[in-house]
Amino acid sequence: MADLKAVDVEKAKEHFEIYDFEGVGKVDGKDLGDLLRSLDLKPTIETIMKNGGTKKKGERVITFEEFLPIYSQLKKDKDIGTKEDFMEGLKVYDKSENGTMLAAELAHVLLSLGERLTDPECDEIMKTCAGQEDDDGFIKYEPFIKAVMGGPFPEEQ
Amino acid sequence: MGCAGSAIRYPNSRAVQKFETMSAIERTIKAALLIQRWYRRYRARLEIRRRCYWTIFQSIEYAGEQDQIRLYSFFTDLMTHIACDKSSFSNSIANSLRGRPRILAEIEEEERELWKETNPNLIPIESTYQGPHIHLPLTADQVTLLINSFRKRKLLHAHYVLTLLHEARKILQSKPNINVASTTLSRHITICGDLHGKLDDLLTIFYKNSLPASDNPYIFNGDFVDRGVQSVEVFLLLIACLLVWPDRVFLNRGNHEDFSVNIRYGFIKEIMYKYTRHATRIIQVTEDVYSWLPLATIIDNKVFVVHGGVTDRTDLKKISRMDRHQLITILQPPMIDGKMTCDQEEWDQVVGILWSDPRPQPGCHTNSIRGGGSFFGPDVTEAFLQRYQLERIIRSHECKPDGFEFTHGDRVLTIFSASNYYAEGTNKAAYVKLVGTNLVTQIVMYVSSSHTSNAEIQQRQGYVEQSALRELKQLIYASHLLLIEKFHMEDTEQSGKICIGRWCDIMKEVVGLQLPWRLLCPKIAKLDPLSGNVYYESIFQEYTIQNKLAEQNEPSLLETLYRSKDTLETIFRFIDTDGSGLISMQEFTDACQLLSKHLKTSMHQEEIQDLAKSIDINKDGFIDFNEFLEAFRLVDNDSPSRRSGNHVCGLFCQDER
Repeated sequence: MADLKAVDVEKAKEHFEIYDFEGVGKVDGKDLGDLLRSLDLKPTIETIMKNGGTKKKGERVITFEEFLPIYSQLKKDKDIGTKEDFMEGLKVYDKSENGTMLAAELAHVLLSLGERLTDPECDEIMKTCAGQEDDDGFIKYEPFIKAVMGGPFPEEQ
Repeated sequence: MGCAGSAIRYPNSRAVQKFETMSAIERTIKAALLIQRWYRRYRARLEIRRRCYWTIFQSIEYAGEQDQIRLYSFFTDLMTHIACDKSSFSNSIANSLRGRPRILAEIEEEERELWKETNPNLIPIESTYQGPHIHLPLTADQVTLLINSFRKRKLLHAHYVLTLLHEARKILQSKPNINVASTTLSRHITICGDLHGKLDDLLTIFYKNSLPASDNPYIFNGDFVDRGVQSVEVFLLLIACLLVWPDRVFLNRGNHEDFSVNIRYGFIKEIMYKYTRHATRIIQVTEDVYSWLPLATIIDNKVFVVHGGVTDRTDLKKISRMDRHQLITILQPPMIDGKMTCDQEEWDQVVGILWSDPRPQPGCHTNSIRGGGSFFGPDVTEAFLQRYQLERIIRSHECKPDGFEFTHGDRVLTIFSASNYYAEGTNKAAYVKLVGTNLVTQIVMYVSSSHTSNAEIQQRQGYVEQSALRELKQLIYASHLLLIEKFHMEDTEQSGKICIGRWCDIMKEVVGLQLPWRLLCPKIAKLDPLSGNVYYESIFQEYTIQNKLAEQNEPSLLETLYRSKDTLETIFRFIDTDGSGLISMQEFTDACQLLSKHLKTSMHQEEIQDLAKSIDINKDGFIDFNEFLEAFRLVDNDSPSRRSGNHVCGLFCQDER
C-alpha cells in the first residue's frame, strides 16, 4: 500500500493480531468493523458489509493482506462529519433553540433512525456522554456531541 | 441496522450533501448515523484496550504456570541425581526434594501414620479461643455458623480444621474416580467453576442459589484455592458442605488441588500465615485429601464435568480404574527413589483432563503456554463425546470476561466462578444450572465487589489498566540491566532513543511475553512526539527497586534473584518444612545454587555467600526469607510510601476491614 505509512501498517498489524484470536493470521468477518474502528475509522455498517464484513461469526475470515487495502481505502474517507453536522442534525429537536433537547428524543433518534443502536448501547452512551438531565428531562447536546467525538480516552486525541 | 421506515430514503453516505439542501428528517438521519458511527468507534477503542490488558494478565499467569512446571521437572531430575550428588546439597534440601513418598504401601498403615501425626486431639483448644466451635456430625446449622464466622473474618481453630479434613478424607475415599450425579430427584443441578480463594464469590453463589440441600445438588469443578486470600475458608466451607450433604455435593479435583502448585500460588503461604505452628499438620492432611478428590463427574450420563478438558487419548475406562490416591501431585508422576509408582499412561491421562484447554483449531496439540496438558479442538471433543455417548462437556480452568464461554459449537462450556480474578474490574463470574429432563442450560453471572460494579466502563477500565501495568512493570524492572544492555547496543548513536519497532522486538525478547507492545508503549515509556521514537531510559524512571542490599552486593546477582523472585520463594517454601519462615545460611546458599542451576545462569558462590551474610542481620545463622523477599520492593518515586508487590502480612490480615 503505497499510501499507508510504515507506522500505520505496523499499528494495523498489532491491532489485527489482537483480533486474530486463534493466532492463525486471520480475523473473523464479524470483527472487521471493530478492527477498523479501533484504528480510529468510523465506517457505517453498510460500508463494512460492502468490504467483507459479516453479521455472524464463522461466515468469513480475512487475512492481513486482504485487510490492508480495505484499511487504506477507508482511511481516505473524508465524510466523517464535523461537530457542526451533528449540531445541525439535532437542532431539529431543539424547540426552544437554546442548545437543549429532550434526552428521550435523543435516545429515540439513536434507537430508531440510521443504523440503530440497541437498548443497552443507547443506555451506555446516554450514561457516559449525555450528562445530567434537568428536571424536565432536557440535556445540553453540545457537550454530548463533544463527549462522543472525544472518544473514551480524550487524552489520546 | 436499517432505515426508519420505507417511506424515508436512506441517505447516501458517500455523496457529500449540503445540509441546507436536505429536509429536516434527512438531516436528523444523517446526524443519527454520525453519532452512531462515532459511538461504535468509541466502543471499539474501549474493546481493544480491554483485550490488550486482558492479554497482559493472562500471559503473566500462564508464564508463571509454565515456570512452575519447569521448576518441578527440574526438581524431579534432581531427585534422580541427588543420590550421587549428596555432597553438594545440605540434608534438609535433599530430604525435601525427595518429596513425600508413599513408602507405606498398605493403606491401613498409611492411615495410622497420618492419624498419629495429624490427630486433631494433638491440638487442644484454648479457653481464649473466640472462633466458631463445631462438632460432628456436622449439620446445616453449623455450615451457616461457619459462613457467618468467616464473614466476620474469624479463624477456625486448627483442631477443628483437622477434624473436618479427616472426616472429608473418609467420605472422599469411598467415592469413585468419576462421580456419578443424577438430577432425577432434584430436577436440576448447579455447577461452579474456579473459585480460587474468593470467599465473597462463594457466598454470593450460596446467596443467589441457596445452600446445598437434598434437592439442591452442586458440583464444584476444581481450583478452590490459591491466588485469592481466603483459600482456607473456601476450602473448609466446601469440605463442610461435603460432610453435611455427601451425596449432593460433588468436588472435582483441579490443577490447583496440588501442593506443588500451592507452594507458588499462595495457599501454602496463607495456611502458614494463619496457622503458624499447626500449618505443617494441616498441609499434610490437605495433601492427602487432594489425592482422594474425584477427577470428574458425569451428570445423567449426558454431561461430562471436569476441570480442564479432554485430549485425543482420554480414556475414561483407564481413568475409572486407576488408583487416584497415588497422585499426590500432578506436576510429576509419583516416584519413590527415582522410580515411578504408577503407570506413565495413567498419569498422562490425569494431566490431560486437568490441564487442557479447548481451542478453535482442530486436532490435539501440546499446551505450550501452560506447559502441561493439551489444546484440544472441536474434532477431539466430538470424538470423545461420541465414544462415550455423551452430549457435552462443562469445564473450567480458564478465566473468561463474562465468567463463561461456549465453544466447539456449544458442546463445550467453560464456567469460571471467581470474579475480578486478575484485578478489580477484569471479569464477571458465573455459575450454571442444568434444569429439567433436557438439562437446559441457565447461566447466572455475578460480581462480588462493591468497588467497581457501579463504576462506569471507563473508570473500571482505568482500575484494570493500572493493575495490569503495575504487574507488567514489575516484570520489566526485573530485567532492567538486560534491557539497558540491549537498548545501548541498538542505539548506536547514543541518542537515548530507538525506533518503536526495535523497542517492541527487544521488549518481547527480554521480558519474554507476547504482548501488543506497540499499543502499550505510550503507557510505559516516553515517546518523542516528532519521530515517534522511544526514550528507553524513561521506562525505568517511574519506580526504583528499593533495595538495602544493593549497597554491598553485586547488582546483576540481585537482579537475577529479583527476576526469579517467585521461583526462589517457591524453593524457600519447599525447604522450610516447619513453616517458620526461617532457613539456615547454608540452606539459603543451596537454594540460590539450585536456582542458578535451574535457570542455567551462573551465580558466583562467593557473591551468594556475601549476600547471605548481609541478610543475616542478627548473625544467628538464620535468614528470614519473607524479609529477604520483602527487600525487593518496587517503590513509586512520586509517592515512596505507596509500594507495589506482595505484602505478606497485609494480604492475609484478619482484621483488615
